[in-house]
Amino acid sequence: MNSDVVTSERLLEQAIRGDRSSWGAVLAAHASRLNRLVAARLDRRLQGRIDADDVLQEICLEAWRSLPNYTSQSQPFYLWLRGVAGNKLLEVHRRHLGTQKRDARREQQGLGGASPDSTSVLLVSLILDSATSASAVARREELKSRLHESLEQMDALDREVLVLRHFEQLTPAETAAVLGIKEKAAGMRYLRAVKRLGSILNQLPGGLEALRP
Amino acid sequence: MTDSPLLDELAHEFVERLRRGEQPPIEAYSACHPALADEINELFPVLRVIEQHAQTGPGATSPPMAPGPSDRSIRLAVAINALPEDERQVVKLFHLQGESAASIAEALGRRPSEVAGLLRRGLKQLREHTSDEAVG
Repeated sequence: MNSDVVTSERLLEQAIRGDRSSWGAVLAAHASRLNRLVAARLDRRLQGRIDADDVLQEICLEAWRSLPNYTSQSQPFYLWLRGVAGNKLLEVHRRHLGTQKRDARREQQGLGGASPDSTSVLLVSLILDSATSASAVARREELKSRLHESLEQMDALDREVLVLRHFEQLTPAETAAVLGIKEKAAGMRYLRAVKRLGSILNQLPGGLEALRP
Repeated sequence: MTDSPLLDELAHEFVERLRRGEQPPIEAYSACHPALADEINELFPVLRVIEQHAQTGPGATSPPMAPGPSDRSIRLAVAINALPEDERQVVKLFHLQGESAASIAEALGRRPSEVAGLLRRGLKQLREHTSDEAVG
């Protein structure tokens, strides 16, 4: 076990015992991924209506309140924190979108209850918003809608695996734990999803090469 | 897939290197693992496209269209949240609401030197908590 791991475990133990400053350091270590999580899972319809920073603050506060209930035996800390974030996002979505969402699609919702098609939107943003070489805005918009259409044809779980690994930046082991399957199976699912995404991207005008920065 | 655990492991390592801002050559991976070369050559360029915006700097990980908070602001929010109650109050009044140390002292019924001490300690902690990731 390296010294970083020992340090972070010690900080977590101190935080669980009520030490606020250790808690700050614990959260800081997970800040980047937590930030990505909120960015990824906050429903697009709430953009401009609520501040992601406020959601984040609520998550941090809720996690601090629930921290005494955390035990490392039950699950790795980040996955626990992710669960707290998921519940808070669900609450935020209910509060702001509430009654609009009571339909059958609810069953397919991912973490935090964002709309089910959001994984395609996310993947489009991951791939195309960064492609600075895409010369004209119009061309990019056309690519976006084509890519979105193709991604909708993909299996929802395949899209989810890509979001977990690349948007939320979960490790292979964390991804498997979140999906509730064995790591080997999660790995195969992921590799298959990358392969499918590759063939989708290759069918876009210009293929994969055109998407490189 | 022939050896998916190894391929997954290599893919994960490749992606982590991209996130650190490296440009790992795909050919090196396929040369070291000839049995997986076809799959590496097929999959890794896709990973590079997916991760390309991460290369613009881990500090700027928030994708442009997402309504996400910036990394800097989350670090700050988290760090402020972690301060002891009185330090938090003073730091917030001073920095976020632009109150002067004298008016904070007056409002809280404390001596100006106490407020200055709280501010100094609070800021020191904020600097410590926000600097560890700032380099990455």
